[in-house]
Amino acid sequence: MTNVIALSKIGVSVLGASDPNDFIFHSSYNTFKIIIEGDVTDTIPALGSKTIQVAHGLPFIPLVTAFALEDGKAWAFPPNSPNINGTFPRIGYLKTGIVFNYISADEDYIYFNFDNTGVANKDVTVKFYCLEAI
Amino acid sequence: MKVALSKPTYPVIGETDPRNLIFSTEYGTLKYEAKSSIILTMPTDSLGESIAFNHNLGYIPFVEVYMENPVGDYEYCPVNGSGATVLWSSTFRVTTTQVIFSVESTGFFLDTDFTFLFFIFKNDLDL
Repeated sequence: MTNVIALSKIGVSVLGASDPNDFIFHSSYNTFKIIIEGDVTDTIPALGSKTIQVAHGLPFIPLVTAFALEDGKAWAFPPNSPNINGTFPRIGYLKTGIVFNYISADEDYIYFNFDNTGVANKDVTVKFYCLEAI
Repeated sequence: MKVALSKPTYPVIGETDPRNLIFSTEYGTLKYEAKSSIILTMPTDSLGESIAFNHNLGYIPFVEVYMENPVGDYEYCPVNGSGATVLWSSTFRVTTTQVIFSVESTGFFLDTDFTFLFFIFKNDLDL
């Protein structure tokens, strides 16, 4: 017999539920654990690119997710995206010049790649989470 | 004192590798505050539009966003897509009060709806 520890959502019987979406937690399903979280700040050179490298110290290649904040801006933006100030019907994206190109990871490091199409150096802070082994 | 549940075949006592644990109080988890959706209608003569959802958490939260593309499939946002004569992309920004969804597109002959499905987590990005 397999023992189960489960917590159902409010209004759902924990004994009768079978849909994973009805549970807050269920021991039959793995969870994303925040194994490491951290932040790093670096300068992206004007009209250039930079790959920010962070040692993760884990014995496996982690699944990494992250957000970036450009110095002087009041919002976070995701990877695989330009940072934008807004949109305009006749322009489309009004870009800040910073592009968060990608996240990658290997056995030792996490890499965050940025472009800066502006004419001034810009600082970015990346908040990252290592959630699981790939 | 901690609470931990190991995966089948792994003894929970002494297990320290997070890969072998279903849950452990030594590690935080992502807990979501809300799941919702919002529709951004892109007028045919517009190249860029945005729409905001108010979360009012007072900090910049972790979010996950998916966008239903013009052919009806959900993709992980940010998205870049194209058809025979059309181009579209989407992204989002997160402030202490809002998630702002944006679309840039060209080539559509009719007003086009872009649906964003999103999860807002309690986790503070602390940015």
